[in-house]
Amino acid sequence: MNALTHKKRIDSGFKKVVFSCTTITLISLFSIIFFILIQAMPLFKEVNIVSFIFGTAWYPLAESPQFGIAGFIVCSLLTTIMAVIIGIPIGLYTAIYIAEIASKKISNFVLFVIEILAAIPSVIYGFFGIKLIAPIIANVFELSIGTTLFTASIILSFMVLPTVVSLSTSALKAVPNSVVEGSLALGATKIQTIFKTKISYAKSGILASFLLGIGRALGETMAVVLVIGNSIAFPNLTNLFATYFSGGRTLTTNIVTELAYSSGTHRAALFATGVVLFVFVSVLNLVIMQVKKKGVK
Amino acid sequence: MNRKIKDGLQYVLIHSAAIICVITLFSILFYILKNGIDYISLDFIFSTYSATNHGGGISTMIMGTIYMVILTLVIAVPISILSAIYLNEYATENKVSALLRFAIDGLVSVPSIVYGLFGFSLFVSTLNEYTGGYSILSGSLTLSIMILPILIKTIEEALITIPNELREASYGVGASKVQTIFRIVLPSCMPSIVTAIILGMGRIVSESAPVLLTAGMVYRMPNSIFDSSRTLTTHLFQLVNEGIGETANQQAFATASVLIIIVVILNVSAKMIANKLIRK
Repeated sequence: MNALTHKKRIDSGFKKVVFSCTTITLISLFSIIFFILIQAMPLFKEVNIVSFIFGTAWYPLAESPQFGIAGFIVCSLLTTIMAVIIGIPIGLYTAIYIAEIASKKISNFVLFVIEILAAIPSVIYGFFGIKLIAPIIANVFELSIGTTLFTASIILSFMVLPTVVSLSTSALKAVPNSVVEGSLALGATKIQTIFKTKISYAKSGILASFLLGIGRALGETMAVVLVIGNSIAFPNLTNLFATYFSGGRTLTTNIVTELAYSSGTHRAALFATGVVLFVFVSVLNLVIMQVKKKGVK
Repeated sequence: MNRKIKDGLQYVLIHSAAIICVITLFSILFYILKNGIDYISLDFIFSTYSATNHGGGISTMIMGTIYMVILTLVIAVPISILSAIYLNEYATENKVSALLRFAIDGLVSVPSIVYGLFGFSLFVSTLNEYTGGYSILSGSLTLSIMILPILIKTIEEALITIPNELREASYGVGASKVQTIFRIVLPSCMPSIVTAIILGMGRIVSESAPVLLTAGMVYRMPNSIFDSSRTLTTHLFQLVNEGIGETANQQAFATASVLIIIVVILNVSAKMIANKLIRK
């Protein structure tokens, strides 16, 4: 009898331990939000939030410093958009190859290739970009310097691939056989069945993979900082073509370039840059959750 | 006929996409290893980096990386195993567990640079007295939080695959819940947990932005976890970014090659363990 209550006491004690461990994630998430907000606060004593987000000039060390990150927001969006324009079609078609076309052996090999692509450190993508891709871009488009928004977009498109491929593959594989057989029985070809039936059946999972890919591109730092040219000039919005082939700076690279030597309001402005990035990613995340919910229904 | 052409075109596109992925990977691997492998020698691996002539090897960065990997795993692995146990073995579907799952999903989506900012603010600045400021400890604490959600998710997925009959059989012979978890459930999914840990190691080795912001840039041999240290990734970044010294380029390629070799070995071994599992 005594042994039994002892066991029960251990059981309930252990339950408390594992529960507290799990709450660490919740505490961490709140601390992250809390700490970057607290550190960003001093900025807004001096600069109002509108001129921070829509300001086009970033001169943090000038005598009358200016903290406008509109240019960085634009660069983040431009590189992300171009990266997904390149990466999403390739990613989705590769997923179709893996899930529908290839033999088991080959699809396992391609999946493994995708896993390694996901595992390669981002700094190596940046290094590869500056050593090989940037000179090629400079050559092909006759630029003096190959570190441009477009170069960054290409590197980001490589990094978006694994997210899109692996999640789209699972979404396609989860489509029940009955749906496929129905379509085939109606006389559709295999390709028609894939594009008209399977993809529309798996659309919420596939859409979620695209959105996660966007999040990945938006948040990437080290690969981008090496290939984007780091220019603080406000991007020319009337000639996007020229803009893509000139240097720029994103939200993430602004932080990593300047944090170490910053202080005071300047440092607060970098944390505020992080807050803006965090807001972008959180909104994206909420959309993803909605998309997934719809998929479950 | 029209349909055939359309289908054929799609087949071509589908195959090309897969080929592009494979070519992308192999051109990265080939380009970096081709330019880096010749510079790798025992001397390069085991000698220290010298600031005076910007030459030498990467032994201190390898040590920094090893410190970082071990300390991060020591912090993150127990917490994530226990959390996964809670979520799969104890949690009922209620608001609390929904909130916890929301937090885990939220942490996954936080960009690494934001983890860097957080680690810099909390561990490097606020807790400066206890962590040594820029240090391996600050870096590891930051990376632990970062890999926690992924470890929890993969370990939980492993726990889910253990059939309930096993647990019930264990209760049937009088074992308590704790005994069942530690003697039956965890051992049965040990290989999956090991795979998750190996992939976690890969992530720690690969990470750079948060490390730069929390562990600093000191290239000397770390004496303790309270010292600042470069890892292989942040060293590569520094070599490329500053590019000082005659051999900076070769050093960068060689360091990148070492990183690639480590990452590929980790992934291949994780794959081998996973494959063994399937064959069973």
